[in-house]
Amino acid sequence: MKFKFWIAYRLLFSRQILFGGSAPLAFASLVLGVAALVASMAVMSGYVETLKSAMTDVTGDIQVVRRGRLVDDWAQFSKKLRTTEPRIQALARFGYAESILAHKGQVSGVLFQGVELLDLKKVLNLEKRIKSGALTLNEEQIVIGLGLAKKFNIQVGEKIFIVVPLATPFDSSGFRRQSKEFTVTGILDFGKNEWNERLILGDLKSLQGLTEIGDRYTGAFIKLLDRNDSTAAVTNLMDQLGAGYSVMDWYEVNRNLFEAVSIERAVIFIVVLLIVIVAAFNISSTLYVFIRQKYSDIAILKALGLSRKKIRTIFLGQGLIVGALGTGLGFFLGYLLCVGFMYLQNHFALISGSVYKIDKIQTQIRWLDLSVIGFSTIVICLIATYSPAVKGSELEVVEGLKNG
Amino acid sequence: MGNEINASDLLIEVRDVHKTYQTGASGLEVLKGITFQIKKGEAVCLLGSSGAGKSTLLQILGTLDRPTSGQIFYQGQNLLEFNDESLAQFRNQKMGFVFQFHHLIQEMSAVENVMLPALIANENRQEARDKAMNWLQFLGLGERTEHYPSQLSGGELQRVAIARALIRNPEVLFADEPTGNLDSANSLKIQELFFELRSKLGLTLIVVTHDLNFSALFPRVFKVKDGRFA
Repeated sequence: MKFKFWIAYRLLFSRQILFGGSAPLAFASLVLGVAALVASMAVMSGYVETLKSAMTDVTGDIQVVRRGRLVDDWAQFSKKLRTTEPRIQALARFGYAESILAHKGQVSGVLFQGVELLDLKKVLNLEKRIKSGALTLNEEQIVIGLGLAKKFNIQVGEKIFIVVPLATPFDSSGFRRQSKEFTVTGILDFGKNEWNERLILGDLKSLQGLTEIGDRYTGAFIKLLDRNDSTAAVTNLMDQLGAGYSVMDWYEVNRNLFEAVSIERAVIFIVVLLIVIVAAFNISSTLYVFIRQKYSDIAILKALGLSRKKIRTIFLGQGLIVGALGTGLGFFLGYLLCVGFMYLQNHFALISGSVYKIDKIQTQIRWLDLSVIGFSTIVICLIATYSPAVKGSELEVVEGLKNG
Repeated sequence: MGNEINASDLLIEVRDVHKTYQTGASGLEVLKGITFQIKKGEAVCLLGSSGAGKSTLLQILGTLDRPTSGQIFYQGQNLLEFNDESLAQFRNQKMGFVFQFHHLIQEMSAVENVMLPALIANENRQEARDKAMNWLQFLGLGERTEHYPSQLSGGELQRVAIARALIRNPEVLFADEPTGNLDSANSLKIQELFFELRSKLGLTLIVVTHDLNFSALFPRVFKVKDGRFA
């Protein structure tokens, strides 16, 4: 077998092949196809991973919310959750209210989320999302999203007003307002565009004071011992807590989006794979021409004792070498494309946050993607070279010697 | 035409071999019932003008082509019953070929070309290389082993082709117009070399030529004319 690969290698890397005709172009198109596959899959994987990371950093592995009314007793509720689901590592309660942010004559609707910072830090990964300032909260302090800070040109240390509209119990057509001035202590990149432009984190007591709900709250963020158990934990919690609670993990919160991305990934893979298939056909036609030019060599190899089957293996070996080299170089070029994409993304606004929910993504080259791309490319190259290989092996020695 | 040979000395036996090439609706009969025998160690010349059928006969004897009808026996084995795989193996083991054009692989150096038959037989790479170097040395090409065919002269190319034909120690060496593409000085050297090799190695030599001077060196000459022995 070694010998057949040696022959395949020596014939393939001749000056005639490397520097002449259509072979280098056919090979280049294969490399480009593989690189395009690697880059597109890396961007898709990176998009999912970035979104997933944002979800788990900002909302935890699982979110439990009481439907229709607020939860009263945190000690009792947290104990119930821990008893129901032993895979829980940490819990943090939260409450939220639709509010209005007012700053220097401008106003905007925001979601004011009240949390207990000590508990929250055990559940969410917000520290790494700080862009300026610090994640410190007391009843006079808040942190805001990056988008909001840009929109209102708010700097750390500045004061803003939060206004909460409250229903009047005896007049369904009216409402009254509660407002409070806060100091912005930190600006965070929450990951998702809509969060960056709408989410404000404050102390739970501030929220409870503004909304006049006493010690009640909306629900809890949960961190699991292993994030991969989230689906099973959600099912368990839903069964045990009943219909009065909404239980969602990071996937469930954006199920439609993740399913769409998954379908898009498959479609993009097939479409870009067409480039590889077309390139493989180019290689096939190049190999036909190559075999025509090598009639004499094939004939002499047969005269020296190579059987048809072995000749076929030599040409299939060439397909394998081309496929493997194309895959390797394509991987490298794909990696460079990813690096280039990240560079451009850092210098220009490539992604519209309002369309894709996030305005910056990581590229993620996964072993699974590389394996599928590499396997597909090599199989396609082998299929493309099979027909010329058979033609080469069927050549009559006498014909080859005459035409050589 | 052929002399009767003892069964133990008999190497190749050809019985009523015909070869017809289909050209459109009609057929072109190139060999018209050839029968002869060759014994071990014999030097045989197939002499004839261009188109007489001598090269076709050599190719059939060397199992590079199949006759339309007739039989070919090699030490009693009917070669036409072999499948492609075993015939290829048989050729590699028993036969060596030298053609008018050297048919060396351009992408390989002289020593790599010579190594090919040994590598095809799955011989160890280093051993094959050593053997090839020895043969090239023996044929006076010790300084040219790493040269590529494009860097060698006509005579040198033909000597590399001879080394390639001999590396597996074949029983029969087939040569089709081996001097047809050489100048007279190189031609004479190659002719002498064939007979030197035959005497040293005990080879059976079957050579096709239209060169009367070359054919005169052979103890046994078959004149081929219009597909028959004249």
